[in-house]
Amino acid sequence: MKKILGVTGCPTGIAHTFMAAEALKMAAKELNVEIKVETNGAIGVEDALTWDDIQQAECIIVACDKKVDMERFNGKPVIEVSVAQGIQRAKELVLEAVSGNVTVRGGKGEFHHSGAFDEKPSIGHVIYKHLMNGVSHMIPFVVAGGVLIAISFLWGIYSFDPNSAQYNPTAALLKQVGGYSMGLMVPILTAYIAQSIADRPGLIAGFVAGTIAAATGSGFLGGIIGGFLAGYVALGLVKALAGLPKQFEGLKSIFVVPLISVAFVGVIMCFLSGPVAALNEYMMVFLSNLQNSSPILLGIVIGCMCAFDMGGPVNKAAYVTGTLLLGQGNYYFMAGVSAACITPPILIAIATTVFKNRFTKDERAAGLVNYILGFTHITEGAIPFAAKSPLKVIPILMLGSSIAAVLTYLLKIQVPAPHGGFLILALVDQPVAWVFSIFIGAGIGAVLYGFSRDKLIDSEGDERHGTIS
Amino acid sequence: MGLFHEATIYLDFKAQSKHETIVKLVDLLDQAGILNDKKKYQQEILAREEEATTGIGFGIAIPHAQTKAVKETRVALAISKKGIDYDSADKTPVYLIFMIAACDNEADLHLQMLAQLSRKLIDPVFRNRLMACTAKETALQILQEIK
Repeated sequence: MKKILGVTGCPTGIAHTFMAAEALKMAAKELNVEIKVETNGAIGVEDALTWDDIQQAECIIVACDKKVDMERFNGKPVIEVSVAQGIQRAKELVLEAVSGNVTVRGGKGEFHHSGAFDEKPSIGHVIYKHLMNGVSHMIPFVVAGGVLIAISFLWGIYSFDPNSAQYNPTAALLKQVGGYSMGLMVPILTAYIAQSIADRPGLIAGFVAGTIAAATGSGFLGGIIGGFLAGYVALGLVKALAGLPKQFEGLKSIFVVPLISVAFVGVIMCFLSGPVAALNEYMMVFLSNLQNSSPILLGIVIGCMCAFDMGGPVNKAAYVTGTLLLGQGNYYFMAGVSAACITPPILIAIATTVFKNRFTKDERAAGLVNYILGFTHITEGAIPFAAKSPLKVIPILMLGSSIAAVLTYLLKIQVPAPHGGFLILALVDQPVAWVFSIFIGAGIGAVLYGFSRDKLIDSEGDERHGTIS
Repeated sequence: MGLFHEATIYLDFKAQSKHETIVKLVDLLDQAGILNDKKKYQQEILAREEEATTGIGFGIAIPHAQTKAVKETRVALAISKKGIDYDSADKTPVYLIFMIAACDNEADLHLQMLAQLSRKLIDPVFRNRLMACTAKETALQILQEIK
């Protein structure tokens, strides 16, 4: 029996959503087709499609008048209609779905397991999710603050200092604003780790814990510890008080939970601050020593991390360390991370430009886009290429990124902004050397990547991927 | 506690237009003490119809709104023998109008029941039995089959 999937939803989510779901089920039954329908209604998502469902499905019918997650269907045939069509034309839709003539969404081969469908996430994944919630809320503050501070340096590195000859009031003002934004980095990180764990109750103790971490010098290490502590304390507290009668609900959420969680977490954070600050200090010194004593080793590690999963957790670990060090005034570390992140898409772009006869027309078009992605520090652009033959492409990308990062560290280039790619070149202290480092890495990688592919006999043949060597 | 009530069932319903249908049913709900804010509820219902008609074919229409203007969740039912021009998607007249007043509370168990009602409406036998009703009690009995 053929298996198809449905997704229904409407803005109010109390009527049409379910009528369409039922209509599709009836039609499928009549036509002897197996169907599962996810409803996006006011009661939330019911019968949510799992990763396995999507894998096995022949086609997905999306009958929605509201936005639903479509990315998960990339690489599968998808029919998109309004919810009303789902009700009225259910039978036609099911027939169309099993006809085999439905356009595939997003092209084949860009099919990624997003992890969002895992029914029981591992502990590692849970920790990663909480940490990333904190990081993703923190990054905009760092970007805004970092770029403002970097802009103030255009007037000279001491332009904020009234006693310096370089002093410029505008620059001083920009640096001050940027500094406040950067100063929120650790509290935001901590608060949103806690929020990811315990929702709103977690935010309160999280902000306090983060502020303590920032003020006592235990830095982001203290912030991360504080975030998890605050989150789980708040979560435990809410659970422990769940038995209280409903009348105390208000009192609980604005008085009892905040008071107890802040007192408890705050006191622990204050006691922890000494040792954690020392550990944090040690780590920072270790990293900056490493970049002086063994720039090559550091470059290789950073390069491999950044290119390993292109925007995934390993890449983010390097990137976040870079942003945190940036927040503490280390502009060298980030330069290598940025170079390593920019290299993979540029490597792909150069390879597709130089080795025209080894890439299909579609790949060459995607390759051109990679120039833009690379110039703007979007490593993810390389993913579709890496996904086609990961064992061969990823090591090449890692090599290219490592070369770029090693050169950057050897030349002691400083990049004061955490993102922006070549758009922030004006802020880089040695822009030419930096671009040079990146292009050397990308160029060497591109040559290897090009030769790793076979020549295409027919350069127009879109189905042929010259990956067998 | 049920979704339906005798006071909000309208047998032999007559109206000349979609607008009149809506006004009459909003009145009915208001008289039954279901609404906090009649004007606001009616606005929400009309706004939803603006987006896309809820006359979704099969001779039924389900104008609906989930809003604070509703005190408790209730569905008013109007049965028309003649059919009403409701500006339906398939241009045919409607015979059953379910006006849904849902209160704005995510935890409301009634939402589950509304979902079940909507599912049930796709069943032609269920619809035909309702259309044939001549007494409120029979209509209520049929509606109570929804779990």
